[in-house]
Amino acid sequence: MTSISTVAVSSTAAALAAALGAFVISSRQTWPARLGWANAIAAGLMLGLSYLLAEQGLQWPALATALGATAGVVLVAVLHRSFGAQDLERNLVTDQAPGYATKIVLGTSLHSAAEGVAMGVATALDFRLGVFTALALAVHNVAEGAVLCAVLSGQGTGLTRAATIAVISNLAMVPTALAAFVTVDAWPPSTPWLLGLAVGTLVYLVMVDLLPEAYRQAGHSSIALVVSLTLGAIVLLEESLR
Amino acid sequence: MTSSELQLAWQVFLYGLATALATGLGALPFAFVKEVSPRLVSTANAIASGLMLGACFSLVAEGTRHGVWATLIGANLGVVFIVVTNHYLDLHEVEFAQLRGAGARHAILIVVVMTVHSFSEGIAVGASFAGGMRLAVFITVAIAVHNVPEGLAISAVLRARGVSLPACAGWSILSSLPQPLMAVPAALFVETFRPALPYCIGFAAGAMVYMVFVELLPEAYEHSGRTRVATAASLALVAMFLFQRYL
Repeated sequence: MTSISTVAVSSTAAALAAALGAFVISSRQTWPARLGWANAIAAGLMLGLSYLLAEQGLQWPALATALGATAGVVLVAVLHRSFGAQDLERNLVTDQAPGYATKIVLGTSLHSAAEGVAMGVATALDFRLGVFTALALAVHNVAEGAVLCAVLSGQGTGLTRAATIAVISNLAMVPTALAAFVTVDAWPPSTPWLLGLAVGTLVYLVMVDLLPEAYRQAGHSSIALVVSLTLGAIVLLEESLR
Repeated sequence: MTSSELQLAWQVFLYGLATALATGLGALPFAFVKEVSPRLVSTANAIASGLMLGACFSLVAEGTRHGVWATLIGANLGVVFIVVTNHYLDLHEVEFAQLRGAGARHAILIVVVMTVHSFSEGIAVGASFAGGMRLAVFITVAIAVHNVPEGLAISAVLRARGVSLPACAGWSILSSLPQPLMAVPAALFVETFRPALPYCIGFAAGAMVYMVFVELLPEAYEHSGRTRVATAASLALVAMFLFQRYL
């Protein structure tokens, strides 16, 4: 029971972090570069997280993990396409097409739902891994929340209202986190599949959203450095998990 | 040098040479297509990124078994190595201008950058021999496979400047020759000084990871949609993971 409440609390806390995005954009001069670094740190954390999850998966049949990962990649790609968000430029503050803000909100909810799976599986495998996952996704949510707040305030929405919408669209991770946790807990053979799904989803989201955005918001070298150093920090964390 | 060391040196040299020759395969598609689109090169870059990141997964998992801090220090040195090399090449770009025109300079620069980063791959091949034969074969095949799109990238640039097909293959192989040359001392060094193993593995992983994020991925995003890049890179990473488990 303690663990399931951990999942509920940590996923809700990670969703609440999206509201901090409003603070990031309140100083208009510097926010693109700051967002780039936040995205790069999130990319490093999420790739490192996939490494830790894939390592956990080594004790299960690799084929199940790999098929789960492939399913994760295909699932997110198909969902993106289904509402026309593939190759969507997510930083347009002005010159927005009709329905642009709706797509961004929908996209954020979809990402959160997918990320929730990682949180649920991670907590079921190892309590500390779960808390770390929540932290990594909270960092990612700050950057995602900042983009959403910038888009909405570009349309004349107040910052408080924008921050509220950011949190609500990120709350999608709570039910999926709980569902993934309960599934792994009740039926352990599902572990490699959900683990793979989480890894595939995280890697694909990093490649399709975080990195291209980060490169545009800040220079190639600084982004590469931030991602590499964050990955290095995860290796240290791995030691403490042993 | 004992006879067993000599035997190891030969074996490592041949494995390294195989990965170098694989780079030449990158020129093959140009026998069938007159012109390769930037989009194709960009997909090749994305696949190379996924394979390299997948290879780093197993390198780091292996390195941290020997020592977490040592792997990490090695990785930082690997990153610094690529940063310094890139910086040096930026500063000395002018020296390549003696060859014909700006196009030739660009072509030479690509070959030099690829050659420089082959050093760390050679170290990876050599160092992996100390991690057991299974890891050595896996890393060798992984690097050989990822050399093919690298050769493709080099050939695409050279072929577009009117370089002949055999010359494209030749330059591609040349860019990977540091692999057999570096693999031998790396393997011997590792055998003699086992404590240095995690540093060497970390160095290769750091250099590869940084190379992916500073060169390959930004280049891939430039000429192709992000969905295409992300799908190619993610699936290549998954394929590498599976490949590693069942080899």
